[in-house]
Amino acid sequence: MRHFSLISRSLIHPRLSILILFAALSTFWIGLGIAIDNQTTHLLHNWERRLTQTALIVLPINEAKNLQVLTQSLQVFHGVSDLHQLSPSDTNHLLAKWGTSWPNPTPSIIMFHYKDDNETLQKTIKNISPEATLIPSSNNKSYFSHFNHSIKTMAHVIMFVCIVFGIILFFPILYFSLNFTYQIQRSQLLQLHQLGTPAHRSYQSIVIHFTISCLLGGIVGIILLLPALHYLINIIAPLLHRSLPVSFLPFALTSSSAISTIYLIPVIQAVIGCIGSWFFYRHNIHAMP
Amino acid sequence: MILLHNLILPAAPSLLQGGQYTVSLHFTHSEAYRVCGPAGSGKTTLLKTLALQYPIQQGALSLFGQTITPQLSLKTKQLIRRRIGILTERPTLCDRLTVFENIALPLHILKTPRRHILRETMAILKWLTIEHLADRFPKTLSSSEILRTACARVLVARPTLLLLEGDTLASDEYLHFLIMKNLYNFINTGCSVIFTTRHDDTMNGLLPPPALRLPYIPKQPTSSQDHLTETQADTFQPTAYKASSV
Repeated sequence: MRHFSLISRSLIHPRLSILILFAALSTFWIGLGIAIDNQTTHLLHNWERRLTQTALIVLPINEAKNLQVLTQSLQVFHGVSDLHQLSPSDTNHLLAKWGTSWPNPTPSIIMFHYKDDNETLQKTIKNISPEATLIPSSNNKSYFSHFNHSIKTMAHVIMFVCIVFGIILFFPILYFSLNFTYQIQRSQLLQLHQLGTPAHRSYQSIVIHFTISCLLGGIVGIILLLPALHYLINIIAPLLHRSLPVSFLPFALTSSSAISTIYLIPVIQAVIGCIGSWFFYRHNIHAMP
Repeated sequence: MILLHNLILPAAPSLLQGGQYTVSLHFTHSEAYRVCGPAGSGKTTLLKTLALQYPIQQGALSLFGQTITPQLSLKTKQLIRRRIGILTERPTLCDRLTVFENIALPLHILKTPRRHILRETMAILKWLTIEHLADRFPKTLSSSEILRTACARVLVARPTLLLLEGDTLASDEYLHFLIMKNLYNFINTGCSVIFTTRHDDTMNGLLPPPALRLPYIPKQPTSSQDHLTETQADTFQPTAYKASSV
């Protein structure tokens, strides 16, 4: 006689395959929603940083001799990165965009990222080349903020839809599984109840069963989600001129604290399964005659 | 020990107009009682009410000094249930447990040590001569084997209140004989026994006169003293006879 599992074994424990499947799908959709929102925010932040920190120095033709000195000085200047001179075609393209008619030869333009005080930079440039003009790119900010807002709103909507869909998949199935299991076990539970079994001992094994099923479903969902995310990143990365993640994706995801919350979804589902089954069975057993 | 005061219990409308009757009784400690009445008169309902398996519609019930109310906590009710053993006409067993495990279940619920569970269960299996069924599952048992297993499960935890349907017991002569033979032992260990029978004379000589005769309408009443007329049945108040020890 397996003494310690008599109460548990007296109850039928149906296989909760449907619950596991739907918990997996729920995790997948919720995780996808979180990942899309998080990655969009991350991407926009990168773009914003690039645009707002990109500065240009325009050197008139007569100051072209200072180009070398200026470049060397800026390379060691604090806060400057990605410094390069625009090619003649890029320069013409840029000047055309500005709507400026410029007779040949075209001026030299240096582009770089700068994240410190503009005044210090201005003074340094003026010391080296008094005719040089510094153009900070803050003008792009207003245009970008509008674009940024639209993209963020869209990402939030997608996340909301995915999360709602995930919730819709999980909660009704949890309820139906609980109800189905209870209907199967009702006569045995009634017997245990009439024998004077304390309520919590009657449904203890059922609560554990549901908790494990929800956790298992969540883990399966994560296992499905990671390759899907990897596939999406593979598709989108070239379009966004971004390099593919070097590290293994599960570890790459943990590096960002916000997106690492997707690893909590199975745990949250398990907790919901535990609390849900506990309340459901407690309520029904208390309602028994 | 058990007090029923103006407790309203249902009965078959064909037996009693209105389909219910009021009962007031007092069962004391270490006594045997008999409740008589025809089929549908509410014997099983009375037993189930005493076993807290049937909700109290109206009236008061007190078990082991505890008044049973809807507000009573489930924990207290379960503690009371563990002191009661009931054997009804259709005993139910856990299909997923073997006969041995079914019998051991009440002891397991009481958190009895494993060694003690094994000893007690084996002893009762031998006593009821069903030790050969220990590893069988209820679905493979005959009705008399189910009855003996259910009886063993009722008795193994040594209940303080034993509720038995006499007619059910009578269907297995050996079981009936064993129970009757050991009735003294049950009572001496502080157990109160309540039997229900259909006929007054079922256990004459073995048990005291009925503590309660449940109402019924005879087809051809022979005497006004023996049976109730329809008018009397409407206002029937069951008589509680003082029961003597067996």
